Amino acid sequence: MKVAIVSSFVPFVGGGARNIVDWLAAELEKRGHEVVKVLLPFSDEPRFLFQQIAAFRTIDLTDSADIAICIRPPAYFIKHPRKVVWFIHHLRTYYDLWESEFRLTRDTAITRARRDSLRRADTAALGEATRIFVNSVVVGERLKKYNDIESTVLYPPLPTDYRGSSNDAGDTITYISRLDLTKRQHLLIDALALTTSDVRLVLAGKAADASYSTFLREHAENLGVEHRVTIDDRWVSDDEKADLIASSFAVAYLPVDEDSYGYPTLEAARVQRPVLTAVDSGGVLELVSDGLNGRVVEPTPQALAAAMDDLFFDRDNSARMGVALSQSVSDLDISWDTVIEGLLS
Amino acid sequence: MKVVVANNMAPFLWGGAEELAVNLVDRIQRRGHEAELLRIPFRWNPVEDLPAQMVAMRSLELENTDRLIALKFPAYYLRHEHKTVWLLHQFRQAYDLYDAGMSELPGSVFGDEIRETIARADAQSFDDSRNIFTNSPTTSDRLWHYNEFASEVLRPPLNDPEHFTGGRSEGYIFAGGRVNGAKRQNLLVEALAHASNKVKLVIAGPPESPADRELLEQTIERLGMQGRVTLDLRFLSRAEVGDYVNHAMACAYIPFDEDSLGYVAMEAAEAGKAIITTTDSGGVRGMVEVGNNGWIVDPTPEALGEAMSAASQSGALAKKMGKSSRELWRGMNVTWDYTLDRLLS
Amino acid sequence: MRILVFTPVGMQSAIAKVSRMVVGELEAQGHRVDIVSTQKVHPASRDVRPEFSDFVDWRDPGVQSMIDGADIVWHQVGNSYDLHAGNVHWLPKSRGIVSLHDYFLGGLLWGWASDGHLAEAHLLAASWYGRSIQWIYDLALPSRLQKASWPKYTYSEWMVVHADAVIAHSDLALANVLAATGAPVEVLPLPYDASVDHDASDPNITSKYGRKTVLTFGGINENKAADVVIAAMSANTETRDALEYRLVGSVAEEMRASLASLAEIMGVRLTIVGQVTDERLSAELANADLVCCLRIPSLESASATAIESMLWSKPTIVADTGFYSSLPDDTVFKVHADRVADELIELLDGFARGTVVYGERAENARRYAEATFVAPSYAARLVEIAGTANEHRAESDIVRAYTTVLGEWGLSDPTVVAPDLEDILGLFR
Repeated sequence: MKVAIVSSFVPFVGGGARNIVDWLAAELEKRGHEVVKVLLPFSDEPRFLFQQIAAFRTIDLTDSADIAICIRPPAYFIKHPRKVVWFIHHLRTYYDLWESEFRLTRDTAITRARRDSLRRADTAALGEATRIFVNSVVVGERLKKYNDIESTVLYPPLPTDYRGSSNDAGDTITYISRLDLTKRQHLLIDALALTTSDVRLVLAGKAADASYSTFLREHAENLGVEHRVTIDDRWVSDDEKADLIASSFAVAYLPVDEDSYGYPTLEAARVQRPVLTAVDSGGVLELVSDGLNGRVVEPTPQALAAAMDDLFFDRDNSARMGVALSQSVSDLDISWDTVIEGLLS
Repeated sequence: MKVVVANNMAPFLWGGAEELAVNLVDRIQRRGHEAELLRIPFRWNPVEDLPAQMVAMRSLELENTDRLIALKFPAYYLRHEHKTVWLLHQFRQAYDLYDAGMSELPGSVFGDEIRETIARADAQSFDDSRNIFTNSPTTSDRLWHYNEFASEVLRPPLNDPEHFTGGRSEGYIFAGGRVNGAKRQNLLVEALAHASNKVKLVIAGPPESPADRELLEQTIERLGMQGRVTLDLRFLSRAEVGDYVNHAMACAYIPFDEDSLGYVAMEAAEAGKAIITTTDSGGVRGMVEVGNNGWIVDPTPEALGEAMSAASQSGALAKKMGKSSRELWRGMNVTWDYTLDRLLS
Repeated sequence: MRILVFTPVGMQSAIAKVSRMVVGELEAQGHRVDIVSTQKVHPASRDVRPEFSDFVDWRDPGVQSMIDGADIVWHQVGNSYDLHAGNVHWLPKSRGIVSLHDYFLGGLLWGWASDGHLAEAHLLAASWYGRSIQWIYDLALPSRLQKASWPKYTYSEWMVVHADAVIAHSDLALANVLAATGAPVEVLPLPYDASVDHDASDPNITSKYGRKTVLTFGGINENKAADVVIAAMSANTETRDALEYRLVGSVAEEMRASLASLAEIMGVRLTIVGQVTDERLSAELANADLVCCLRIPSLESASATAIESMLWSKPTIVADTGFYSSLPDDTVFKVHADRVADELIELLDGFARGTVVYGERAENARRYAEATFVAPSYAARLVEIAGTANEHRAESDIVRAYTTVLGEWGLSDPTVVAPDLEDILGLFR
């Protein structure tokens, strides 16, 4: 089939949406389809919201592709008789983040009306799709709540050439993700200071704001645990990730209320390591259950420390949970076969 | 620097311009900058949809970008503070093709308005640009004639000169490139009948249609040239093309009235091979200094046969002329270094 | 709600007077209103209406923040650049509801051009109208505009295009405004503040000798059809003897002479008063028994005189056309536009004989005018329109983006290539 993958992007900003586009394209091509990626620039500046949406609307792929898979808003405004949406998130500042500090404008009758116009248009454009998929239960619920649209969950997998590794697990818990306040690496350092075991931490990933990684270092020093923490403020390649995870006995991933379970969770599953997360981490909980395939605890240093020690001391259980996590991924059909079958169905 | 290269896109079609755009991005990255390719779907049918697409291009916001290099209509309508146009071609249907009676734009009030709109919108975008480069003198001439904008000619360089290092001649004349009526490989076969028995011809490249293949095969059959012509009609890898060119005695490239120098001729010159072309081949003639590095003859089987005989006569002569080809070519300084120096200035 | 008003604030400005009335009502309705003065020259405090004393000047750096925090932005727009410089500057950025006090804004464009924006104004004039600014400005010469049937453009398009909604005060040239913008356009009666004093008098108004006074006031020009009235009054002896005609308002010498001569020939008692002060006008109104507000043809917005007459509870004669058709039949005396002469004769005759009962109708007129041409309904409607406009925000953003780009390309007639936006606009409804 001729498949067009349509998405929006900000030049030179990578991230989940761009990965999905690239990985999906590769997987479709492996299965013999012809793929074209249609990526259009989009700015979240409120003044330009509607004119940009109108611009997307001029894209008509009816005669070019057999199917158009739309990912990031406002990609699904394009025209195609077979529009399939794999919905990963709203323009959230006009939805669930309207009442938060992330809202981009003041809250007035005018800006509320703009918000409502957008919601109506989103609903209408999404209504044109032949199938609607979402990347997590959380996002599906939000889509239902705000746009009254039913959807099917299609979990985004890792790229298939992402290799596993089978080193012996050491004494480390690894957290590989952007170094960011919302990812809460600092909480783990707090917890580390309360642990009774010899557990060590590796925190690796690019800090969007360098001051956060500085803060992490200083925090570790203040608590006297700097010799047990490795902080690597840099982008980590897929191969390195696999090696790092393989040489640890557990993976930590505890962001604040994220929509999706996050690729780190899948990366852990691939190497069969359990995941340590928090009750308020959001989408991770669709995959990880406390005691089954990882630990889900209160986001407090005490609770995290206890869990870290448990994982450290009971290696057999940790290993068992790691295998269980890998199994969970299969159970949830998190695979490209499932994705492509769903999208093209 | 963050550089966005913008081209338009006809989904699933891939040609020289697309290849160039990808190479440009790659070369910019090799120079240490960040570069992204932006490909925007564009439909020229139906004509009624043109204005909306043009307006859409002006409505898009390109953030987080230091430089924009735009290659074609309507990609160069994108707004950016530092926009450079490397014009591969305008919307010729509004200009020279219209004058030649070959445009799909109707000769109606609407058609006139569209042409006026394009001219004015083009003027606005060219005004907005810091620099205007074109890919050939013909493009520059047209730009001046129709829009009264001056421009600097910046020839697209070879994408992979490393494949054309030259080598020992194996005694054949090589005709590369796409095989179709406009490229006139058939004429070379006919010319063979007027050339000395020494002359051997190799035609290698993807045929545009089965009819193009059949024509060559039939001509060879009709003229009894089986022993003297090798046909390798398929899409070849760059290494395979390089191999053919590097071991040729001389190269023949006789398209009908092409604007550009022709990659086939450029490859020949890079590899240090003499070039045979015709008086009506257009830009290719810029690659040949008659008597020095090649032949420019009438597009007849007799004249071409004579040139091919002369080219095959002496190995020493061929080598000498080939050396001149390379020197001439080098002197034109059509390199990626120079190109980037100009584009990023 | 927080309402931000861009308006002139000076004592001399009639528009500032209207703003004052409406703002007073908005505040009475519980809204918080902030004022931005749009006057070209920062007004001295003594020249500013006391109600607007805490205005913010349009050049103040805090204005953008006020815009960002407003639930409603309202622009009072007229043709004078001296009074509306701030509207020209801010409307494109703030958007909002535009109350259009003058249809023709060529003078405003000219003023803006002269104030250091020549190049931009030139571009606007060329791209919208294919004309020079000078040409547009010259169009405003009174005789030109009156004589011409409305041209294709009202020359307000370059401003109106930025509005989220337009309030007009009569339906003159409404079609042009509708063509210039996709935003909702509504005609609202202009709030009017008539100081009615039935005891007003002036020694110059001489005794009637038993006649009933027919009054026509405002600029006395061809359009007011004074000659038609004179002719109708002379139709029979009774009317001629029972009525007298008073013309109050500026009148050209030629017109005065020709009307005087006509009245003499026709035997009609005519007094041409000419231009007067507000006090004298009150006295004339108090003195009048019947007001004639005919407009032939109905070219200009003459609502002010009819409204005034109604507020004075005077029996009012109008032509059944344009704005006047909207007045309820039991408030005024309408004559059919095609049969003015005949119907006027009949009406005046009945008036003279006393067979036409006009007291009740005049009372209805007063009640109707007091309920309609007043600030509370204007203010309430303004707020409602703002709500509707907000709902159409997305559509107007899109139409505006298209119009702006097509305008920048300076097409002679953008409608030919303008794409059909229904498909995209429909998604937002």
